[in-house]
Parts: sequence; structure tokens; C-alpha cells
Amino acid sequence: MAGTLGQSLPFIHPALVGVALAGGLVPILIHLINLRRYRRVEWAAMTFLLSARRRSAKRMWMEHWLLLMVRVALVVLLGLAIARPFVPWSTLFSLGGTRAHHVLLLDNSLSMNARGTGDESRFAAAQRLADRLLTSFPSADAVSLVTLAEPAEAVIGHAAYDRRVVRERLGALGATQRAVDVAGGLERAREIVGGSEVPAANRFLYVVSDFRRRVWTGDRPAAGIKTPNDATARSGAGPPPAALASPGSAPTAAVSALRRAAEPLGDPAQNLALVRAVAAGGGSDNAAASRLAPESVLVAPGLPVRFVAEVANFSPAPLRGAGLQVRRDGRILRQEPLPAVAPWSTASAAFSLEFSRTGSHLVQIELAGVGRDALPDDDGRWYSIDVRDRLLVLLVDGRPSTAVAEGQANFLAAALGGKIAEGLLPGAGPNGASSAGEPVYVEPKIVNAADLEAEVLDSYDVVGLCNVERLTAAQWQRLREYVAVGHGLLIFAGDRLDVEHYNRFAYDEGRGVLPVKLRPAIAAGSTTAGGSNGAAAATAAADAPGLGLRLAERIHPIVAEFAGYADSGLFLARTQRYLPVEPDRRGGDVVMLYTNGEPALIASAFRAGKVVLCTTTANMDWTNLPAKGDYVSLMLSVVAHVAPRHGDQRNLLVGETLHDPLTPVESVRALRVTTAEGRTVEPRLAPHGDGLALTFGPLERAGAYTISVGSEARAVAVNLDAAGSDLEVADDAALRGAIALPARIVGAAELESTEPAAARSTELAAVGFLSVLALLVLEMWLAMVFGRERG
Amino acid sequence: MGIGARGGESPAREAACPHAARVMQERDAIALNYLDPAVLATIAGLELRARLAVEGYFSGMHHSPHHGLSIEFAEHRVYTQGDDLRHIDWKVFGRTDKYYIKEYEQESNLHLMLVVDGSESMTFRSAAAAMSKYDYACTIAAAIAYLALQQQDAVGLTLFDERLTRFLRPSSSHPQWRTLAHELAVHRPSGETSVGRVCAELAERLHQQAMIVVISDLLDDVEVTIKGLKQLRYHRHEPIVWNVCDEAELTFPYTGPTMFVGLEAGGTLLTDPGGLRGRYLDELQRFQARLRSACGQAHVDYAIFNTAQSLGIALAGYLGTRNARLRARSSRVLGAG
Repeated sequence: MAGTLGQSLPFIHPALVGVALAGGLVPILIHLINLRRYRRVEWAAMTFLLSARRRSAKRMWMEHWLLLMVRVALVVLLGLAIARPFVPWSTLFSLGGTRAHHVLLLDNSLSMNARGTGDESRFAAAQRLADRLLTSFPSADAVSLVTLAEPAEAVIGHAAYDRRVVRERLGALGATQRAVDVAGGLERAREIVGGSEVPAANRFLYVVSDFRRRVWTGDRPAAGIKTPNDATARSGAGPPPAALASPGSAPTAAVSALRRAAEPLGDPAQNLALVRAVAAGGGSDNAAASRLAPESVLVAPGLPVRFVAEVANFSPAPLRGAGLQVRRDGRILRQEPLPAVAPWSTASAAFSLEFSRTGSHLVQIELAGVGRDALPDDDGRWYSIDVRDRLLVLLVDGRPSTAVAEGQANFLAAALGGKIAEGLLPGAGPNGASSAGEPVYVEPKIVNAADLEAEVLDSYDVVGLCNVERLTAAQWQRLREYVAVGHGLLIFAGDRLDVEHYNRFAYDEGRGVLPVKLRPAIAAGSTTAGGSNGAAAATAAADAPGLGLRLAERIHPIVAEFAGYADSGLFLARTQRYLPVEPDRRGGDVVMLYTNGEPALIASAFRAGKVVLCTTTANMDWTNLPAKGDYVSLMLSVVAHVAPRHGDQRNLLVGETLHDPLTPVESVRALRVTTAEGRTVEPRLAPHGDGLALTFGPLERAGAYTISVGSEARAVAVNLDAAGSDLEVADDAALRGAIALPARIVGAAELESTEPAAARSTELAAVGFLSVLALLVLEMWLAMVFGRERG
Repeated sequence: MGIGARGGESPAREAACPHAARVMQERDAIALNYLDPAVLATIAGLELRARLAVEGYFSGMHHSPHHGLSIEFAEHRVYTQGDDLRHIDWKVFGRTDKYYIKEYEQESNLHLMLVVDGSESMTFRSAAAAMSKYDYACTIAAAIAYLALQQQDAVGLTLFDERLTRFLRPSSSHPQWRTLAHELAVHRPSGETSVGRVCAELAERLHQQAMIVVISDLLDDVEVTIKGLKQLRYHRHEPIVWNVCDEAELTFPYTGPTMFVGLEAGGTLLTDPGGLRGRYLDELQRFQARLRSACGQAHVDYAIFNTAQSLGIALAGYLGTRNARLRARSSRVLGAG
């Protein structure tokens, strides 16, 4: 009860309210104790005593309770006076109708670490302004506090009246390196404001931030930086950057959230304020190492690995003379020169590194020669890479054959195994010309469907189903789990493949590993019943004796190497039979098509893993593609695409939690994590599938971390969300236009010139103490009067 | 020291010998202390206590209280163990070979019946009081008895609670006082007070006109009490009512939560006595006023004795009443003659 009272009434020390109420029990307890500590007197003249009692009972009862109530009120009032109640005069005159609830949203994300021309960071300015706002609030008003670093957090989610507590919480906050979560913060604020007991007109929302253009107006295609939710932002690899919002496009998530948060407020013009921690156009110039990733998927000892680094220039002036300092496992290797980076754009630099041994390695780049930089935290970037000497592939053949040129698995094994993985090497062309002499081996193993049960799938990187008729439900379930945790799956068509079975267990109405629903196999030139590609098939029939292959309009990375080679053997191959598929909205990416428009190669993702479906055979049964020279490159590229990125879970963004699977042997070894600041801490263990995984985090600082598993060390790279490096601040007009709300936009100067509203309130402590004094006099007078009557 | 010897000394002799006078004054001062209940309470034994009280009282008087009367043979009775051998009638023994005691009846000036309340309420004694109400009543009764016997009056005793528990017929014989004092001393107060009923019973038992001194706290129904007293008056007795009260009963000095436990009846009462004091004193005074008024209408002397007061007041009250009675009787005799 005391807590409720303390939160709903204006007390500076609400905790003392409970003490005061409890103190009110003291006179009652003393009274009860006195009643129990009576003395005993044997009395003769009881007749007179009983008669007197009968006649005095009512008067005595009234005197007694009057005194007791006065004493209880005395103690309670004294306690309440010490709790220092505050009531604004307006409240006194309007019977409490104007008490307000202020919700402060404080941006403590990465960009708030930036320093302009002065020494004060954006966050320090924001903190000072928030404190100024606190001072300006009438003392009887309630305050809540929300931070905007991802994930947004309600630091004070209730209506707090104790300014000392609010200031303590505010002072304890610091700028983080996390991304900003304005939408989440505004959602928290909306929940708080919506649940407030004060009228809508008395609910106030203050967003104290740097109001970056990228977050609020979304009209800057800022250097092609991806959002933190883009998994490729961690590794740097992946498809080209998506197009960013253009001016006049849909509101940003922050603006949409702001509009929703304004709904429970009375008048946004009065109740919503955007408080600028930094003036528009000041001190926003920043350069950042925005990306670092290897181009090769499979990295082997002694092989040069090509890395691509990207530097973003978030300023209106070109960035010249900058360089990249490259380190491997902490050792400085060289400094790569950077080309001039145009304003608001990025520049890439590529360099090759070799790793002499297998295991975990760390690559780091550091911007050098940048000059004045508002946010030095984002000048470095790290990448953790695992060097391996084997890629294990399990091939399940539905019609195994001892002849090398017959079974599909045999063809694939011949293409993958025992050969240099030329297609995976940097600089390797479609014809398999490698610039490196050291081999990287893919180790295929062939089993039949019946033997699949005995295999430990997790020991393989990729599993290929070649013309497999059907699997048991348990086997399909194992495959689903296998792919879901990040492994790769290849499916090749064939005459034994049971289409209905695959549709039922592998496609499973879109829930399975198969990206599309299959139809019965058809010969090239025939039409599919009711198929949407009938016209295309008719066209292809003219190209008999088979269908050719072509790339999809959007070039998939699997076949990116063939994009400029029209004379590649891929396009000369002819396919006589294939499995048509039903169009599916979630059916993955079409990598290659037949010339009739039907998909030939489809790549898709299933949870953390990848699946590639080939609608024709891997041997010469339905197509002559295996006879073409680029078949090997294509298959190696497919395998490389679906193969899991070992160690990729150790490339993280600030705010994420490290989760590194451990083998049973590793899980019993001594585990340590050395942070970017050099602290050594003990990580936790968490379930991971059938085993355990090391967990640590959320990670608060960017930099190189190290996991020690016994004597083995694993590098962990923690990077900043590059989106936070764009420090450009939206001006008032742009901000007002984006939010489309009549909110007040308040600058630091305007806020600091405001007279504190606390002066308009009255602390009731003095009134309370005067009341205590009056009650004390009343108690003494009553005791004297009643005592005189008794005497 | 005999009362008569003290009373026989003249002021002229004291004036002739200043030293003797000073010695006498000092002795009087010591004796007067024995009227103080606080002093008397320190003296063990009711007999001694009563005698000292009487001597203390008379230490300040300068006239003889002796009024000699003749002694007449009354009757014979069978000897019982403890009787004085000097009173055996040897002539009768010679004729009958049995022991008979000759009893004489002293011709008394007055028959005095002391009616002492022996109920439980009389045991009340406040913390500040020197003795309980019963002890105080006994001391008064014994002192008056001693005084009366010294003056050749016949003295009897009645002890009662809700009924008459002990009855000694008035007698002026020498052992009477010891018997009376013994009865008072051995009685253990109990039961409830019923003055009216006892007075009515006493009126039936006493055949000779007597002065009846009722010493009680009178915690009984006023109407019943008055009715009993009126019955005594009807039988030509002269009742005197001495209402014995403890100091605390008259002032009610208690403060703080107190549990009052009734000595006779009334159960218990837990209360703050400070808040009740006014009402209680009102009740008490109304009770005493009613008693006083009713006694006045019935021609019964009524006086309140505080157990903290000197016993001299009681003795003076008795003597005053006795003398008035004797004067009235003398005037009646003379008138008749």
C-alpha cells in the first residue's frame, strides 16, 4: 500500500510514507500494551464504581478515542512531513487536477558518443538537458525514463516522484556502442503514457536525442550501410546493398513510432517535445570502417584469402589520403592505401592474406590518416575467420553404382573429390584456372539411403540427396534439424525420386526443407498440364533435342563467376528431362533456368542452413551438363554456397550475445572469455541441440574478444552497426516535415533559458510541521482538559 | 497506669512542681500518639492496642471517669474450666458436692452493644492506609469496650456479615473485655455486608435497652440499612452508626489502567480510574448523604471514620453520646421523682 501511495502521491521521499503510516500504529500499540499492563486492585466499593462507570462510559470512550486519534494523526503527519510532500499551487486550487506525468526518452546509442567541435559528447549534452528538464518539471509531477539504445529499456517504467532517484538513474547512464532503437523506446513510452493515471492533457513526452537524418527523415542514401538486422552486415559478404529510402518515401520506423506514441497525449503541440542534444549541421563529419569480409568461403592453410574492406565517408567533403592498417592476429601486416572517398559514399579496398595454420584467426583493419573524426569508435573493424583443411560432403545415392560414370553420386564425387576446389579460389576463372598451387580438398562420401541412418550428420558440412526415392519420416526430420542449425543440403532429381513423397515430407506445405512443390518429371519439349510455363515450354521445344540453361535476371552468387562468359559450357549443355515445379512465393531464389523458363537450380534458406535444388540429374541420365567442363566449377560453387561458415557465429555486432557451440570434450574444459577491454571472465554454458554452447553477452564494446577452451583460443570479432556512424543531424524543417506532428522542437539554448517550473510548486513540509505543532498543542490541551476532569 | 490515678492529679500540684509537670506533658505526648492509627498499627495484639488507645485518649483529660456502682448476685452456673476459683460457691459445693460459680451482675450505668461488620469488604486496605477497615473497627470497638468496662458499663459484641456470626451479651464482668477482644481478633472477615438484616435480628435478641454502636462500611442497600436501624429504635435502643471508610475510598486516588476486583461481589472492572474519579466521588457522596439524611430522620447518630483518622474522635464521640444519654436518663428519673 505504501508503495502505491508513494508512487501516486507527490512525495520527495515516498519510501518514508510507509514508515509514517506504520508509525501511526505506535500510539495504538502503546495503548494496547498499556491495557495489558494494568495493575490489580481489590476494591470494596464496587457498587459506586460500577455505577460511575455506567454513567461515564460514553464520555470516557469519546475522550479516549479523541486523544488516540490525535496522537495517531500526530505521528502520521510528522512522518508525512519528513517525507516532504509537494503540491503545486495549481493543484491546491483545482483539487489535484493538473498533476502531470513526464516521460523522458534519452538516446544513449552509438552516435551519442560523437564529439563535435567541443569536448562534450552528444550524450553528455543530452544528459545535461535531461537534468535541466527534470529541474523544470513541477516537483509534484511524475517522471519516467526510457533509454533508446537497442533494445530500448524503461529505466524508470513507473511514475516516479522522487527526483533524487530519477537523477541517480539518469547520472548512472552512459553512452553505449549499441544501435539506436527509437521505435522500441517510443513503444515503451507509449505503454507508460497510456497507463498513466493523469489526464491526457497532462502527459508529456520528451525525446532527447541527436535526431539523425538517417533515423528520422530517411532521405539520405548514406553510403549503402545496411541495417543491423541484415545478417550479412556482420560478415560483410552477401548480395549488393539494397536501395535505401528516397525523399518523400514512407515514414521511418522512428517517425511511425513517434506518431503512435503521440496518440495518448493531449495536444502534441504542448505535450510532445523533441529536444536536440546537438544543433543541426554541427560536428557530424565522420569516417568509418563500415565493412570487412572475405570473398572466399572456404579458407585453407597456405591459400591466399581475399578480403574486401569498405570505408564510408559521412561528410560533405571527400575523404582523401586515408589508409587502412591491416592486422592479422594482432600483428600489423601492412597499410593499404585507400582511394579518395566521395562525400556520403563508400570506397572499397581489397587485400589478400594467408594463414599458415588451421584454426581461428582474427583480421583487423584500422582507419589511418583520417584527420578530424567525430566518432573514433567506428574507425576499426574486425573479422574472425576459421581456417580449415577439409570440407566433408555426404552423398546419398538412390541408385548406387560401382561404375564411375553411372551413379549420380559418383559423378558428383568425381567432380568434387580429389580435385582442387578451383572455383572457390580467389581469382579462379570459370575454366578452373587457379592462381594458387596449394589444393583445397572436398571430401565426398557416398552411401545409399539405407545407410543414411548410421551416419552422424553433424560431422558433415553438406549432405546431397542424389536420385533418392524416399526417406523415412525420421530421416526427413533429422535432415530438417541438420539444415536448421546451419548445414547445407543438395537435392538432385532422377527417375527414382518419388515426387509425391518429396512434396509430402520435404516440401510439407512450405514448412519443409524443399523450397518448392515438385511435379512429375517431364521430357524437354512436352508441356506441363495447366502449367504457367506452357508458352515457354513450347518455345523451348523448338530448341530440341534438349533445353539449354540460362542465368536468372538477378545474378546469384553461385553463378556470378559465369555471368560474363556466354561461351561457358553451362550454356551449351542440353537437358532432356527435368522436374517442373509449382511457383511458390517463398520458393527461394532461382539461380538458373532452362531456356523454356522453368527453374533448373533453386537456392533457398531453411533457418540457419541453405538448400539447393537441382531439377535435373547430377549425371548424364537427363542432361549432358556433367560432360561440360564448367560442371565441376558449378558443383563446387554450389557446395561452397550451402556449406556452413565455420566460425561465423563469432562475428557479432555490439548488443548481440556470443553463442559458440562446444563439443562434449570442449564443454568440460576450462572456459574463459577475454573482452575487448582485456578483462577475463567466465562464460555461461547453454543448451545447444544435444550438446552445450558457450554464451557470453550481450556484448557492449566493439573489438577483439578471445574465447579460451582449454589451451585452444578462438577469436571473436565484435563490430559496430555501421548505420550508427552516419552522424548527420536532420534540421528542423526536415524533422518537422518527416514527423508531420505539431511537436515542439527545442534546442539546448532555448531549454536552458527556461525558468524552472519547480518554483511554481509548494513543498508542504512546512505546512506539515506546522500541523504537527498544532496537533501537539491540541493533544496537550485535550490531555490537560481530560486530566482536569479526572483530577 | 490506672486511669483513675492519672485523672486524680490536680493542676495546682503541677504548678507547684514544674519538673513533674514537664514529665507529665512528655508522657501525655507519648500517650497521645497511641490515638494515631499508624502508630497503633505497629502494636501487635488488639488488647494492648485498645488499652493504649484509651490511655492515650485520657492522657489529656483532667477529671475522673469513675462512677462507682454496686455489684449484685445474679445467679449460679456450673463451673467450667478456666473460671476463676475465687468465684466458686463453696457453700453450694458443701451441699451438692458440685462446683458452682457465683455470678454477680454489676449494676451498670449503660448497656453497650458493639456491632462490628465482619464482612469481606472490611478487609480493604489501601496502600497508604495503616490498617484495614476491619482492624480499625476492631481497635475502636475494643477501645470503647475497655473504656466502657472501666466505667462499669455492660458491653456486648455482635460480629456479622450477611448474618449474625458472633453474639456476646452485654456484661460488665472483668473477663468480658478479654473475651470480646479475643472474638474480634480471631474473626476472619468474609461474606457480604447486610447491616439491615443484622440490626433487625439484634433488635429481637436484645431485651434490655442498650446503646448500639454499629461499626461498618455500610456497603449495603441504604433502605434496608435504615429499616434495620429503625427497628432498633423501635425497640428503644439507641443506635449509633459509624461508617468506616478507607482514605482511598474517599479520595479515589488511582491513575492508569487498573483492574478493580470486587471484594464481596460486583465482579471485575478494567478501566482508567482517572476518568471515573469524579463520577465515583459523586456516587459515594450521594450514598453518604442519603445515609446521613435517613439516620437524622430516624434519630440515629451517623459519623464517617476515615481509617487514617485518630481514634480519639471515635472515643470522644462515644463518651459524648454516653454522657448525653446518662444525663437524659437522670433528668427522666428526677422528673419522675
